[in-house]
Amino acid sequence: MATTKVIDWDKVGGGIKRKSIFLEITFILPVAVLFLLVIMAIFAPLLAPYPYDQISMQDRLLPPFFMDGGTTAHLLGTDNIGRDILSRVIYGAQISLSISLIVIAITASIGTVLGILAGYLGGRTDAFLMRVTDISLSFPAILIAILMAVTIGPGYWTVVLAISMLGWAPYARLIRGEALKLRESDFVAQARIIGASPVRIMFRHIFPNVLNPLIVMVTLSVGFVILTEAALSYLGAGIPPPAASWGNMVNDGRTFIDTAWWMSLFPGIVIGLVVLAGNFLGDWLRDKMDPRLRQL
Amino acid sequence: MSKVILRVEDLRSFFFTRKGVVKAVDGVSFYVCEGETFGLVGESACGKTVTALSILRLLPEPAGQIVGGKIFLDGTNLLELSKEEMRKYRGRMISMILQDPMTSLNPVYTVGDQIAESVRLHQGLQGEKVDEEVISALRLLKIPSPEMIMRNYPFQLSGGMRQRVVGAIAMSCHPRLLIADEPTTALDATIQAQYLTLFKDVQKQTNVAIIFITHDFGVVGNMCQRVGVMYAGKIVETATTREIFKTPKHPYTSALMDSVPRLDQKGDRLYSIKGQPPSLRDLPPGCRFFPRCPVAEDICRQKEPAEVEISEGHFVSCWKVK
Amino acid sequence: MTRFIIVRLLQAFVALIGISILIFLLVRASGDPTLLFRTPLSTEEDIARIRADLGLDKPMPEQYWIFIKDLAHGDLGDSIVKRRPVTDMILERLPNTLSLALSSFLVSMLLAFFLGILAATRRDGWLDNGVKFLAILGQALPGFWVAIMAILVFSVYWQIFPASGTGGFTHFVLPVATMAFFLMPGMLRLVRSSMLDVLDSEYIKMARIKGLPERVVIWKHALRNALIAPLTTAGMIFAMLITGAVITENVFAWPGIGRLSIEALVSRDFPVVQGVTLMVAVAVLLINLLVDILYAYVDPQIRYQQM
Repeated sequence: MATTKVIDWDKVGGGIKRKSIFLEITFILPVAVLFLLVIMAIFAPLLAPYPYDQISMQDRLLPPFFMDGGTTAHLLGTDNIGRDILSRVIYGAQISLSISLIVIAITASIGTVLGILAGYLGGRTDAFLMRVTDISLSFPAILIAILMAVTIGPGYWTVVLAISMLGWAPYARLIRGEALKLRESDFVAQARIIGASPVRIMFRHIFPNVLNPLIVMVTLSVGFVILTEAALSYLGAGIPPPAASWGNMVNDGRTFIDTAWWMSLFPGIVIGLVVLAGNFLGDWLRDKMDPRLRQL
Repeated sequence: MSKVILRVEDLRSFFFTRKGVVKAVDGVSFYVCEGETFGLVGESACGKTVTALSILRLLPEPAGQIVGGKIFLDGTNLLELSKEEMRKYRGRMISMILQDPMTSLNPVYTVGDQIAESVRLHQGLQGEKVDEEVISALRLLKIPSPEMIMRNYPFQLSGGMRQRVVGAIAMSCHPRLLIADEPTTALDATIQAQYLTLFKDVQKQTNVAIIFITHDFGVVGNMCQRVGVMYAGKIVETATTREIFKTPKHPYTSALMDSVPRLDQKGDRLYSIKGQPPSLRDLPPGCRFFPRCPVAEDICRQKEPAEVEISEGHFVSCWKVK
Repeated sequence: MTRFIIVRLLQAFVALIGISILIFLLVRASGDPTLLFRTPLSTEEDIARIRADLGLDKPMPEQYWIFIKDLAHGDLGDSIVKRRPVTDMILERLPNTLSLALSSFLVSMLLAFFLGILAATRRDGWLDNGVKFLAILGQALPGFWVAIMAILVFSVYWQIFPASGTGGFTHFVLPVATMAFFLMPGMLRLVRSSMLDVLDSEYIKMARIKGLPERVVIWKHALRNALIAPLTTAGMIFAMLITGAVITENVFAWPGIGRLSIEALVSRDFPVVQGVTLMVAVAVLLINLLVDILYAYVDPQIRYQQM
């Protein structure tokens, strides 16, 4: 045979260099916002110009600094009892961040365990668990939270419990689907042939393979939990005053919407930005890790 | 020779992607006669399917565009028709069978519905006449108890039966030209043979012209009267099936034929072509096959060979063929 | 099909019992349940009566029996603040919630389907990008905040629409618009991606090969298949609808059951909250049942398997 060199034409000329994935704007911006959130939460006492509950009646309802009557001492203005809005927004990060971390830890664990059990064991276990999941998915968490706020009383742990009570369902649904596919895979069959126990198969073979969708789901849940906490606090079924939660800050502003719109505007924008960041990062991760999950 | 029904002249279909222009079909010419089966052979991604979709003008727009050439169907240049006129040609004048019978039927409508739709649209029939046409289309493809099958949903049928239904849909309005894009690849070997025989039968009854797309020379030998061998967006050799089997001229044709297992060459290892086809995004100058060609010379690297007619109806594009 | 419905009905019934046990236990888990049923003004006699009503001196299973028997009669107990049957209070408010929820549902679903399908058929065009942007925004901004900002712009600043209460058509505009803004994005994204999947399929190619006009390809062949995925999320949409109603009714002082439950929360009127929750639970189960039936209707494969 003639010695013709085989050339890989994909590598010859004209090829456009791929951008480094870390340079993508849809990655950098969300990460920056979430990083800022973490910094605000951890260093709130250092960053905030005032304590979140410092009342000052002579500084009531000051507008933000760029308006007439505003002062640089209160960059985002003050509320109806003279508390500094910027400080409260910074402290609010503590509640949003810690609640989402705790809730996600609980719901992701429960959901993953139930999802793997349902998907791998199949049959009646699967049918039962998925029925419960379907119902949990269609039950409004907000009502559970209100019910618990009445029985146990509103508070930090009531919120955590109320959101977690149904929050595992989306995880269970997702992980179950993945486990179902993995159950049919050759490596699971192989493990069964060599006599691995079901527990071992679920833990050693199924679990590592559902990590990618799990990570995507976790990222996408940050926004959901923050929004739910804010809604509950807004309704008075969440974090009670005087703690600075973004949701109840918006609520404080509701009565003053015709005179002091900044009371509601700023915390709302911050919620929007953080949720947007979480959703964007989740979408980005999903596209990178597992484009199949487009409908998540 | 019978009447030429389709003539494709210098067809060029490009895909305009973010990473550059993909020249999927780059100057393809051939013709098909009434009652004839023309094979279009080549490795995957050589432009066979894009050629077919270009004839139907169903390239995925806006990325895929026909940028040049002419396609005459019974004397009419399809590329000059308006979109609406072209749509009316589809299903009535030209039809196509896709590769995978599992996915080419709509899962939520019955088989009968999916055939009846074409019948109503193109033949303007109503009421019981529609059912009669549906049943006759199913009969044409030798589908047993058509009155029952027409009420079934696709998932209730076997793969082979589904592919027959797809055939029935394609043939329901008596098209002049049928394009079959690897219609048997997804089927079991025994069902494959049955299906091919059925095809020949359908052609005998209807005198339809068929373009049969495949990568399998075995199927070509069985089905086609003439064949065009495609490589990297071009047809490199066209001839009658008999001639191409007897005296393949283009090195690619020979290589492709050697990669078909044959019973008369015992013990030989199956030959496969070294290397990958070139990226259609940036093609090498000169002959597209030279990087993989066992007999390439300097000229092959520099200039693209022109098509030469070496005997009547046998065209080759290769510097080594004189 | 009948058998399928009967099985699903039985399952719904079992689920209902499960939920009632949960709520029953939640009340007892709070320590002294009488605390939930009394006000600072309640006398010793009141408390004794509550104790007897709930049957707290009897064993747990019997207590549950009393609870479930009352429920079966549509008796959700009396409000401890208003001293009226909870059932009456809910029924009184229900029409307001229904009118708000239904109109928001219709507006948002029509928009979601219309825009979602258009966006999918014009992939990466300006409409698609605009729709994506709208969906992303709608999913990130808190509903209650959007509602308040809407009041700021349309009621305080421009004074076009009233900020609260019920009345004529104008009272509907802001609540329905903000609720639709909250409901639409999820469905819009789902319809779009489901439609994109379907449009990529071979049977759509086949429909085009048949020479069908594009509108038939989209609205007959693609739509029905694209409906299957969004339909599975109908339950979640219902949950969002209730969430949206609770929030919207509170921002706009809309006298529905969402507002009722928050009023009850403020006055710690436990029976009312319990009643609303139970009623929603029943609705959740009915919706799930309805979805199953609809699902079987859209997807023949399911219809035939379950028959």
